[in-house]
Amino acid sequence: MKVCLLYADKEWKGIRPYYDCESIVNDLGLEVLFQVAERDQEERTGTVRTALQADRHLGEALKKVMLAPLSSPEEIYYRQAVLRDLTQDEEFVKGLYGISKDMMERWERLGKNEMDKPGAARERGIQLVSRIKQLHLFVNVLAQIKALCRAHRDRFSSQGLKDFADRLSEDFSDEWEEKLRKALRDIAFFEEGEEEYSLEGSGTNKVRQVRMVLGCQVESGLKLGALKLESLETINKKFRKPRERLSLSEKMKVTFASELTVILKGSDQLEDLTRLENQVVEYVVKCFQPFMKECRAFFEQLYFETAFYRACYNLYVRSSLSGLSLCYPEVCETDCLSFENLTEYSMATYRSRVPVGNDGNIEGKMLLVITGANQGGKSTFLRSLGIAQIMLQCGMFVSAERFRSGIFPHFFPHFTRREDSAMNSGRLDEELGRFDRIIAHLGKDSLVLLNESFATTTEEEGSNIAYDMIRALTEAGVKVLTVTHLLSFARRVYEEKWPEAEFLRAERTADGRRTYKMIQGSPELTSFGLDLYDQIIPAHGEG
Amino acid sequence: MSYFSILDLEPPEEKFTYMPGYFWDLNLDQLLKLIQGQAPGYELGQYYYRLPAARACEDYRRQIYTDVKRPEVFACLERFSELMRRSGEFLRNWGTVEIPLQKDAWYAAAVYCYCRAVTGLQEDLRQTQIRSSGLQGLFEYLETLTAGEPFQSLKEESFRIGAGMEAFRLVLVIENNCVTLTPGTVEGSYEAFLGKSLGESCSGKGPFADDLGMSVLEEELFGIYRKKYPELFDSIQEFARKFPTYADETVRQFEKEIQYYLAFYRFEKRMQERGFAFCVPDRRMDREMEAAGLYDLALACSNTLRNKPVVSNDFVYHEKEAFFVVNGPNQGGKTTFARSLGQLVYFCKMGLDVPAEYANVHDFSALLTHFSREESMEGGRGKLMEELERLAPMMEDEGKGAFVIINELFTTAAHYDGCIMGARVLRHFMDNQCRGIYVTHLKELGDEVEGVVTMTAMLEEGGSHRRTYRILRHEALESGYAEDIVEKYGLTYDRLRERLEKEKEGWE
Repeated sequence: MKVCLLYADKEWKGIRPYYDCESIVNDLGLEVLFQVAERDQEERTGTVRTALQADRHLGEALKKVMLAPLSSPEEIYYRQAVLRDLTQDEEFVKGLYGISKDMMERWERLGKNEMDKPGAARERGIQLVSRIKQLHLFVNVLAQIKALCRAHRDRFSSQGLKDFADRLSEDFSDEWEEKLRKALRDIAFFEEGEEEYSLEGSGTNKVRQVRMVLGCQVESGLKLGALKLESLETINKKFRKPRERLSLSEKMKVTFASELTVILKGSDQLEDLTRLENQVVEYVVKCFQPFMKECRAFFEQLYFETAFYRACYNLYVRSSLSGLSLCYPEVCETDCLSFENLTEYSMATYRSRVPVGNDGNIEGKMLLVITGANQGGKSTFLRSLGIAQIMLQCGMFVSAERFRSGIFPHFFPHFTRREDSAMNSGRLDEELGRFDRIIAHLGKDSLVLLNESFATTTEEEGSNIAYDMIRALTEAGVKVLTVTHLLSFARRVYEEKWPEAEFLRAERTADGRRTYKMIQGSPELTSFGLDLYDQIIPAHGEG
Repeated sequence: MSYFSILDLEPPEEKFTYMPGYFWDLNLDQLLKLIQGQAPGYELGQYYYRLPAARACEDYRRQIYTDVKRPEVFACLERFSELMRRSGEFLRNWGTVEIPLQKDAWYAAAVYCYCRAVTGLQEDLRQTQIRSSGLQGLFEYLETLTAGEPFQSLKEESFRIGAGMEAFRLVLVIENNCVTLTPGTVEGSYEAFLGKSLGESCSGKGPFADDLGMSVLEEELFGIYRKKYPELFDSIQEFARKFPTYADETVRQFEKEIQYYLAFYRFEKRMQERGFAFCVPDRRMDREMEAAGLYDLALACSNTLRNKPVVSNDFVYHEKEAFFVVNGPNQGGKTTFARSLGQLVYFCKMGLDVPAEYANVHDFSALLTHFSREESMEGGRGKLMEELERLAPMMEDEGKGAFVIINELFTTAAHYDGCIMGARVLRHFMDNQCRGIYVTHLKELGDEVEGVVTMTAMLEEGGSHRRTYRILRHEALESGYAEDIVEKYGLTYDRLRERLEKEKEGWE
């Protein structure tokens, strides 16, 4: 039994995440998404409301899946299709995740984590009972999921969900289900005194009794050996006293018994017999081991994979309620990047309103240099590209009307946060150290996002370092998106007319107003910090 | 019967129950643990701790081991060993159970296994070409033993009971607390049902443990059964009374001693499957002592677990060369090389195969090792004292003609002193016809001492400081790591280009 809702051909196991996920989460501000995804979203009196109850598992699953890149267009479109189906079928996505979650909770209570622990003989008996209960749970839940899938099968258009439904019907066929249920009925005697016993009225109480036939060879030391189980069943009989106190019927039986029938009455003998019965039950349960193992993997996988989609569903609802446009991105060559009304998704989700979007169409370029006015939205723009790229690479929707980009399994943000920058060599040392590690982890199809890198030294030095490094990176075929205030660097690249470079700058109207829009064009020589200076520090002298 | 052993020609002078010091130094303790693991239930230390007294004995063992390695011989020894192991197990059960009838039954079963083991081995060996005098001697002994009247009648009786037991089958119908017994067999239909419904895994081994631990129930059941079918039970009781003892001392000793060979061979085979070479060493004194593809077997064992490769080395002692002095960087493979030489000499002396592709090993009277003890916390003089105190007994007369392994002696002494003392130690051993290897940090050690060969643990070419773990005849290396602090991260344009070019090869 395979879930395969995230990948067509494999489960979520040993999937390699990006190098340095922590930086990706922090630099792109993804934590917001994980948090919002943990809660149901709804509209009430015109505003988006978030449920108080958070499901941490959703955030965790979303985080893990988002931080592991897919590597081919097929993989991406496979996941997109499943997500598309699920966002259109609220009942199914909520139902399937709900069943998995409920199942996990009940399973935990039945001692899921003690499954593999060896225990003392007495505890083993208790363990056995809980294992049998787990088996009942598995069979029932699988039947439940099977029914849910059958009811929704016709609405699916994605290969992922169709296959999931068909596979379940086949792998957990009705015929097999019945066999499993029969085996569980046969060992029901072991659960004597459980549920059924107390449920029925006192007048019709039943006792479950075992009947089994064994064959054996008598082995060295007169031991019963090579035992074979010929038949096993649990017989429900009308209430009778427990076997220790059978004195009357015992006498009757002795009278009529053949000479090779033994009625066991000593407590030691009965203990031996019980041990024999327990072994049979243990064996039957052990036979279920592969099934249990499969179920364990299946349910854990299901719980995880559905959590990802359930989390996406919450984000999807939130975005639609706040009127944000989402699209399923297209995959193209790595030197292309085009987008319409691209917005910064984390911020949009956090504020629940639609921010300024950007358009762009950049073909055949491997270096994007973003310059322009301070507070002009450069960093936000870089983040919006980064987030969209991450979401594209995990098969999610993107907050844009259109988004096309290549696949970069090696994705590295290198952000220097303004507040961190200080003119000291220790910082540069740290920054370069980080860079060194990135270089060591580059691979085919790498994307490096540089935000205000090398700001910790002078403009001249910083420009030189940036020039050298970015030149080496682009020459090696690494795609680089950089926001920079190092204008000597940007000018130099522009004047040398690097064929692989494209320039964007934050728009600034003639009167110095910022539109937070990026426009394609040559870098300017000032980042218009003076504007900002003037704005923040009122002109004294003239007043 | 005079003394017979497949390990020694003469009764050994003393029993070794303690691990000799060189075991730890050469990591033979780890190897012994692994070899011992191949023969659970037998104590192999007593054999492995003791080097054979004479060259003749080394050859005697090697002949036997050569026989053991032949598949047909190995198979019949394995059969014998397994039956004897079971016989021993049954006898232990006889000692632990309390119900008289079961006690007797265990006894009869133990004797039955023993008789099958002895007869089987004797018949197997008759059909096999044995080349070693050791196993030939054993075969002759078995011929005499099995032809004798006592063994014959023991065998006859025990085989009769054994056959009866093997045919003894019952069907039990259990209903609540009532058990009905009938002679007969069943198919195991329910197990088949489970197998079909739940997969192959349950069709293999049935529901029941080997020892059900149900003595009380069994006693009750057989008590009833005996009333109707008494013959077999009676003969079991009779047998135990008639033959109160059974096992032959020499056979018992052989059973234990053969484990020495079997365990090593099983171990060797497993290592060979993982791609490690073993060979039968040549013992020619008229040729140079040498080895090719020699490796540290203990390291090989621990590295295969971690999937790390093991580097092997070649060496040769030319005529008049007596000592290797090995230099080189830390973690460069010096100690490993020294250990592998020690293991070579050890396993060669034990008459077993050695971890190398080819080896010619000369005769040595003993194996002497001196490794610095990490646990000694005292620095300076204290540590030097401790080292010298351990060295002194090695330098006494008994060490003549020994193979000597010294690892980092005099590390705490001043450089100059260390060189002088080291040279003296070398001279002493060479004057006493010893050969060996001396691992040291002192580059000048052994310069101008005749008979000393300087070897070095090599680094990769190009100044990368990467270890190759190869030990070659080479002058000591000069160290020096002057890296430009400016280029600390290797991020200059040229360096970066170079790095990226190199990395790109691994990207596709």
